[in-house]
Amino acid sequence: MLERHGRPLGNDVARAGTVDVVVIGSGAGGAPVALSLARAGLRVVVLEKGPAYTREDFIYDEIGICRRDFFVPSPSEEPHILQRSNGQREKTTHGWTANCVGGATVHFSGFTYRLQPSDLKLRTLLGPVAGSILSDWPIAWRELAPYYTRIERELGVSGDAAKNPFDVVAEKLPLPPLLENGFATLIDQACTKLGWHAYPTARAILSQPYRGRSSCAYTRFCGSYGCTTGAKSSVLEALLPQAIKTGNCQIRPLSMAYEIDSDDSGRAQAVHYIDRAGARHRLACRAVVVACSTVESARLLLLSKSKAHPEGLGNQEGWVGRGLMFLGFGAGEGEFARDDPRIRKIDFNAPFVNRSFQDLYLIGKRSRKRKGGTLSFLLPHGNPIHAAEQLALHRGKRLWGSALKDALRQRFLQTRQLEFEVFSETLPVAASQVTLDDQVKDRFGLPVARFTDQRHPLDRTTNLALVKAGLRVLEEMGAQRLQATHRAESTYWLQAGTCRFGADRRTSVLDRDCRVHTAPNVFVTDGAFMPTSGGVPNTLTIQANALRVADRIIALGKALSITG
Amino acid sequence: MHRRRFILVLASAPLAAKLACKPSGRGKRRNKSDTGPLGQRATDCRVASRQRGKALNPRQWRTYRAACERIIPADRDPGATDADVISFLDEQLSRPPIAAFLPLFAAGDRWLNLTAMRRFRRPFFSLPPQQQDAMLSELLQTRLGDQSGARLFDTLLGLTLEGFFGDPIYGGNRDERGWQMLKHLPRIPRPACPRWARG
Repeated sequence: MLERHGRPLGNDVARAGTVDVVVIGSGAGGAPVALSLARAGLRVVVLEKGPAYTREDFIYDEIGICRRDFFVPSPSEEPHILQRSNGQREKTTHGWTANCVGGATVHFSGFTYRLQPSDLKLRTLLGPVAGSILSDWPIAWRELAPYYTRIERELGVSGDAAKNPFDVVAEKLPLPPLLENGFATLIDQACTKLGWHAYPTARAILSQPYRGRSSCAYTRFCGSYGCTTGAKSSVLEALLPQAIKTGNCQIRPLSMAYEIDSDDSGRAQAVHYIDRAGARHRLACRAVVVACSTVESARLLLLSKSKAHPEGLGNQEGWVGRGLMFLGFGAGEGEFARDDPRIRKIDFNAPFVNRSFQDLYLIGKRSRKRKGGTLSFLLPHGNPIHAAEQLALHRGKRLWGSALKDALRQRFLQTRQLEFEVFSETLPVAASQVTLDDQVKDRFGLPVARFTDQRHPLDRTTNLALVKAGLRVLEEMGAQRLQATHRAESTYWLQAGTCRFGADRRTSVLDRDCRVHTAPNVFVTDGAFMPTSGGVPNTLTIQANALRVADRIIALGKALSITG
Repeated sequence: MHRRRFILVLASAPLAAKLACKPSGRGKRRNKSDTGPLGQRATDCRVASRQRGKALNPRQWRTYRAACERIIPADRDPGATDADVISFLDEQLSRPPIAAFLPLFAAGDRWLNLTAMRRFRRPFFSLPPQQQDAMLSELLQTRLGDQSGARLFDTLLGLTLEGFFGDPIYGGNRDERGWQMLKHLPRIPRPACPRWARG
């Protein structure tokens, strides 16, 4: 960690140790709120436990950036405990998204999918599902939809949503699609034959210069890395500089919030945090926005015990931490010989494939209706260690020696691969939960988050059906050596659901404004608010909803004594 | 995309494993020159030193140099020895977080050499390749104290791939031989120094 990684960004807005709003976490859930509130004239401090990286830190170093503790803390210092259904406990880095200013939007691939109206009404649509705590969202689609358009413009998103017949937001994306590889045309043709509708995936990557940032340089090393040119629309590039520019917002890096103080009525008064040097601070405020990731936000609320909140903040009904969901994940690939006439002329320097389809977003008819998800086609990531490791250690098999070398040569020199990824609905179950571990503590001496990853049996069926569809497209394209590389797994990086919002305060933690039922000035705006996961990566939804909540905070400001 | 993230070698250390790296490891990684004027880069940014035996003793060095060569053997393309993977491995085992695996590597070296001496009266590194391969396969089924030989093998395999295909700044992939085998073109900007010297 260098000195500059820990320097606060922006004016010191605290007066006499007090600010209007403390936002905990500077990623997808925190940054949009900070920006909106700062624009509205509120004095905001953002506490971020990770360092403040800049573009010069984002180099192409697979070992240092993707495989060590650049984005996630080392499991010896700050582990999570993954409790398997067989009772086995593991120290793991799973469940961390990113510890840095900008959060996981810094290293994400920029997939910016919107939800569909059905996602907010899943309980109504499917009826009761045995074993699941399925419930509808307490807000209507029309309350959320305008915020997608707003956040897409704030960020700079490229694509062509009009080509997706299942998308209902009428507004155009602010930027046209990125340059595409010839594989995209082959996918379009295969999908058309199969009766499916492939469309250009929306990406938070600039296809043209936008608001002072330059367009994409097409290195194709987006996911797992920070963007070296700033063309990826992370909140670090797109939102936080704007928030700082207002003069009303300060970001304090290397500052980990560990407790929210509340008075006897349950109202939050201050946030306690530990700075880089290990010193503890108390920052008084009029409102708190918790957005430090689904897993860690639940941990923070559980750590915040007080007279008014003896079981942890907002946990009077035992719902904090419950209904943890990791979006369902699957993947597969197929191979084309390099001299295959269909792909020989493809220019792999115009590198995005960028195709998705949502024809299987809902599967089955009427009473047998089931939630599905989204398929996304892409070229394999160019990280060589990762690619080699996938060949060498996969699904319990080990490949080494000359067999490994032959497989490497085949993959890198003789063929081209096309991959697809599946993102599928995860049905919420009560047993999937974040709790405080009673044995393991982090480097600050605080109990770490323990989580169970219990999946509803239907999730697997759904995921397999989507993987099969992906393979069907590859087959139609004439790809060889088709294989499902991930059949039914969890995306530990796409999290939702530990502080569900709902109309009934006995079965939820937050109200429709994402405000804790029993703490009138505490809001939660990361993925934790979602009672259902949706069938797409939820990054854009978290950001859109965060803008919505910010508007509610401003509207409620006087009534809640947040504003003067 | 996402699957590529954070396949930290340590990703799922069982609780039983006693991790040897100290909680204060963060401070240790910091380079002295980092404390200079704000925002300045560390100046001591050399390639990981070629000094031998930072973590491994001479016997362990020979054992694991031979084992890495079995994982990526030289054929018409270079092998692990050609790419100096063993220097990378030694460097990694000398500092957190990978230093946590040193006891496991020591146990593996003991088992490989004891077994080799008992059966063939020769140390592991001097056995012919087929016998080394057979013993590495056997290691997969062996317990090493409270840990498994398979865990050692998989860790060694992962680190060998890192040493063969990672940036040469870390001491392996000598003259970019691993990348040349795959015709991999590194993207710029590349690291000017290893992660631990960068902060």
